Amino acid sequence: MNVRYVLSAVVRRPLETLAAAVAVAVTVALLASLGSFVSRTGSRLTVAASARVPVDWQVQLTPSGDLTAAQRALSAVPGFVGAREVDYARVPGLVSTGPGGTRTTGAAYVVALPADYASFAPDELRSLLVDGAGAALQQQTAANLSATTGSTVRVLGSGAAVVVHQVVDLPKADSFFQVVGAPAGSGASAPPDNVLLVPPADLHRLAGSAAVVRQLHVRLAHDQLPHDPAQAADEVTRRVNHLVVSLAGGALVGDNLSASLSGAREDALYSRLLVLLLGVPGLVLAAIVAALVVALRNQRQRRDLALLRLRGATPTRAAALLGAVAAVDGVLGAVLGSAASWPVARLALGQPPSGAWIATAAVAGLLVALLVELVPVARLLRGEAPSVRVEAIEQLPTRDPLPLRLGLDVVLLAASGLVWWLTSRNGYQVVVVPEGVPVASVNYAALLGPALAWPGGALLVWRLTALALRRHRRAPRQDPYGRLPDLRNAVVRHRRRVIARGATALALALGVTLAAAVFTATYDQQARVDVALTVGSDVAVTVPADSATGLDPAVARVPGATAVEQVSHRLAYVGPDLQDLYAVDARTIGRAAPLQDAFTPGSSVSTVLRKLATTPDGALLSQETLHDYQLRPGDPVRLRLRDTTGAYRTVPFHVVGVVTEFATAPRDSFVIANRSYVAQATGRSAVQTLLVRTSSPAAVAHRIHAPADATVDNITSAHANVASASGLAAGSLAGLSRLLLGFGVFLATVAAALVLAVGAVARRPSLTALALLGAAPRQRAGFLWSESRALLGAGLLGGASIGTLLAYELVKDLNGIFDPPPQHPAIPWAFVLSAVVAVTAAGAAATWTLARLGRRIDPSALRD
Amino acid sequence: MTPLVARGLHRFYRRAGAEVGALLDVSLICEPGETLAVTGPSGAGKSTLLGLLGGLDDPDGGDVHVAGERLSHRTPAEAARLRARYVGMLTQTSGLFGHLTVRDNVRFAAGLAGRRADPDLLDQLGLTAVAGAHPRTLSGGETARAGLAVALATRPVVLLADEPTAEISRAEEADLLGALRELCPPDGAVVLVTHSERVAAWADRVVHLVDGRLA
Amino acid sequence: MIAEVKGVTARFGSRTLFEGLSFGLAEGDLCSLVGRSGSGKTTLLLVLAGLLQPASGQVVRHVPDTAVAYVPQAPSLVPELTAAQNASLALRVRGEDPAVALAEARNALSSVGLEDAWDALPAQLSRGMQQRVALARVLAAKPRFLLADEPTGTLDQDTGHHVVGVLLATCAALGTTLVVATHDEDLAARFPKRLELAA
Repeated sequence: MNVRYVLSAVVRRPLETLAAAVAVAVTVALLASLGSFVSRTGSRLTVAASARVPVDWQVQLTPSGDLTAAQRALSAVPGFVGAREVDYARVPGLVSTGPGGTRTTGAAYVVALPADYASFAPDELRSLLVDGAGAALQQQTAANLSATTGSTVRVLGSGAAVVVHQVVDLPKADSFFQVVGAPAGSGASAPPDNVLLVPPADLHRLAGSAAVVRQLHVRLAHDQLPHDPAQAADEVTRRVNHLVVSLAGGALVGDNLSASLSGAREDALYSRLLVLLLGVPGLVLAAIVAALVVALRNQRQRRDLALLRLRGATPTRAAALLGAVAAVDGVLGAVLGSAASWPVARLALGQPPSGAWIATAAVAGLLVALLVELVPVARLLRGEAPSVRVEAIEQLPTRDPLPLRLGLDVVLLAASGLVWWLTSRNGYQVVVVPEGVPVASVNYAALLGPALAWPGGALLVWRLTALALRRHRRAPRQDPYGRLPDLRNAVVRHRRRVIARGATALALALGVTLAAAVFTATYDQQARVDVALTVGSDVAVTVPADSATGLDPAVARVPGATAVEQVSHRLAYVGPDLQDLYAVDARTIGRAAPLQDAFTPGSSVSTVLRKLATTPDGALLSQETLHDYQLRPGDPVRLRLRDTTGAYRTVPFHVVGVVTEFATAPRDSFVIANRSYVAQATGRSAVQTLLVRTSSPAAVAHRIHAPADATVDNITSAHANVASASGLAAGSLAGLSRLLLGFGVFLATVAAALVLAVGAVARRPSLTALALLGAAPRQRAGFLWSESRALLGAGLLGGASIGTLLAYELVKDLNGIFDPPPQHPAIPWAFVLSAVVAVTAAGAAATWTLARLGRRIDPSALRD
Repeated sequence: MTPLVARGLHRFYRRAGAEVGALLDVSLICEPGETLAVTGPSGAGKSTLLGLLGGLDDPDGGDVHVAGERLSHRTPAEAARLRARYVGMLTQTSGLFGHLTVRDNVRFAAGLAGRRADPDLLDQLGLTAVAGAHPRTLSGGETARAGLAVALATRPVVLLADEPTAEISRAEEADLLGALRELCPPDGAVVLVTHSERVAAWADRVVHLVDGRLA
Repeated sequence: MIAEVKGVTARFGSRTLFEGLSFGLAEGDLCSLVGRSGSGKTTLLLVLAGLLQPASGQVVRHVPDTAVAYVPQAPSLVPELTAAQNASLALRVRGEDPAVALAEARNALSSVGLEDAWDALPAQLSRGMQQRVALARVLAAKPRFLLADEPTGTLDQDTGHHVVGVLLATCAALGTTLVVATHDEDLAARFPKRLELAA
């Protein structure tokens, strides 16, 4: 009989059951998608980070190390895929004789690569010219020697010679030639200019008596790594330590994989934080909407409960029966939601949700249904004894909800403001990754700011709405058209708490959605700037630094190019450090290079460039350099640059300002100077970089005919995106934003429509009675429209406020996620407007529909 | 065994800060087989009294015994169990679950008391034709009789009725009262709250409640 | 003649409530409508008021729709308005001056014995009082054809009789045609005219 009670309750009230199930389903789908996003992003970042690494480990044998022992130890490492022996020696130089004469280089590296190295580590080598198998010259070296395939190169020191069969590029020369075992934090040294790659058999002959560095380049299986980048990095580090210990000092390990994974851990953290800050209010909102829907049942449920009590059902039994009905709703909702999460996650995240998260979300949905439907039951069972006669009138709340009575809105907002003020004094560092320490810690305190802001804001909206609706409107002297303004106002006034509740839900939905939209728009904006910085401009033509031949600017002046700027890319010694130096036309560089005030902290970028333009020997240096050498603006500084002879000559400069970012600059420390001065001081005026501004990058890039050794890059190329400095691949964040924005707008519209519907349904008897009194449909609808206007108005206003506050705090707090940090947030006006329109339309449509439905007088509503 | 004994019942309510006495020193004893009518103007406390007699509410003073067992001042679970076993309630509004058929309503009520419903009950009340119908489709008289069927489903010792004939016609009223007299357990008791003098006249005994006191 | 019923049949689901009903109501008639519950009293009232179309036959009313008032069983007051505001609704929807409407409303409330409850909200009133407010609501507009469905349903004997007395007196004074459905024979006896619905 109990089963029949429950089933009948569900089946006989199909609309209610469906509405409750749908509400639960929305919560389930959102949670499943969000959870999947978090875990998937982690693994996506891990995969991306590990794919970026050309060679996972470079195990360098110490002089006492044993190769066989090392190889044996390596094969025992879990996930070991393979290793190749790579030895190299430093020789005094290389010589080549050709038609142009004899050329000699400075110190060079002779590297022995096994024949299959190119297929073993494809990212390390890029073939440019191939003529059979054999020795290869690095591109720059070939240029220095004026050699090419077929040339003979002699190694100084040993005197041995070898025929060049290939010219290659080593794109990851930095890591290839890293000093294995150097303490973390020591500055990277420049990779060698001159490299000769030879088959292993030739090394001994060519290297002569030079000391040979023996390395094993190791590849590991990436698919068995933990999904989370931090965990993956730790796991790899563990294996490295284990290996080092087992070799008892016989080897040092250059761990490229951990380093890359560590870089990704920051991004993984950021994405998790984003989910926390935006996803949690979204979930809360979904639960609120679910509660609203279930509230539709509340009256009937109370009646049922009173009746159950009357018939002698114990509180446990009553709770069990009503709970069972709730459970059915929950199960239905969980099933619906789980099924719905599939297409939702696919659409938003590009991947189906994970099974584990679907299960979690399903359970959560069930709990939400039970909680929402049983809490009032518990209250009722403990509270006043229901009378034998059962209430028929909807109970309007007569007191403000507890949180408002306690002033929680003010408390939360004040606390948020306090946290804000405190953390802003220390800069907005939420994720802190100290140099050299492979642990990222989150300054959770800083997150309290936005975390407290949205509930506080929501409660404030509640309070202000209820306050605003308290206005008393006197009856007009005459009301010939029966507009009933005072009566409608009285109704709204009495329902103000109910309306405030609905407006708050709407405001929250809108606010979270708008904040998410602003955040992602800003992110996109900065990502574009970031890519532009990496590439250099919309299109960039580059040859290696210090290249003697340089580029002809005419090459870039093709149809579609709106501006072309020339940059002389040189290498300069600042003290012992080799840094990139970019010599520009300070007055005009802004036409093609992306510039932001954030790049020149302490001053606007236009001011700084003006200073540079008016100081011929001016130089902009990085903060680190200024700090290390105790330099201040105005101080003289001496840099060493290559002159026409190829030797480094000292050139005096004066410090003009600080710069943190510049087009194509890969490292944090670099120098910007005036092109004319550098050309005159070094005697070399060649330009190594052309920056082109255009609105159609791909087309213009295609039209440019650059010399063979030049690279033409544009911001739309896939290569540019991968090289982008921020690790959060566009896909991840885009997925989260699509998810949140989609749900946000959906929930906002549903909240608006639902609250109005719940109100209208409860008013049906009285509105019917009004009709019987002769009230025209317009007049009856007028009551619905008054409420609708109040709710939508408060909700939209509140939503805009919460959204602004939250967006501002998010952009500031998660500043580190932007690379470079934004000057100002980007507001996607089109989206904002369409969201507002959607919500307004939904509310209006709901009211209109309800008004129409109420047009007809249903006689059955008149029976008791 | 006396089906219903209520001694010195007091019940106060807080209204607008002051304590209002809803019932003051009300005592009732029903002999086996007796029908008692409680009359009085609205607001006199009749519903409150009924709530106390049914164990839905606890008195501030005094106690209630049903079938020899104490009904007042019990835990909610115990009171519910006693209610299910001994007390049948006939309310003014339907008192039926809207989503269950008439037959299922009777079965469910019996089930709450751990009993099986008497298959003849519906016939005896002339409800065979509408046994499979839902309460919404019933006429006023049918609703009242269905409510009686549910109240009697557990074969209660005490039947409490709150204005059972308020919304039915005189002829139907006669039917209902007749059924009440016929189908109630012979050693049980019936307490009717009513404002109808006719119904009061039908009962074996009448008590008059004015301003919370028995007049 | 205020209304003529010609061969009207009404059904509820599969049941035929009444068939081929024909009668007339004159101006100023004060009628009771009796019958067992389920006999179709509510339905007949709705048909008379023009709120329900009969399955067959027709009802001809000789008064405009605005002069017809139907009082349902359930009071259905607007929960957020006071008794006085509720009672003034019938006049307000017709565009009456708010002050006049309110005054009439208060008069009507007094006539049903609720002069103390002007500013009470429906939730604060007992069901019986709500029903009286619903009556006052209709009376305030001084209808010419008033149909009331069990107006004394939940009222105790005395109040019920008082209310019916007011109804009869007011309608007699205004010349309003009154039809009251009731199952209470004593009440029905007070009406000069009687309509009976057999099963």
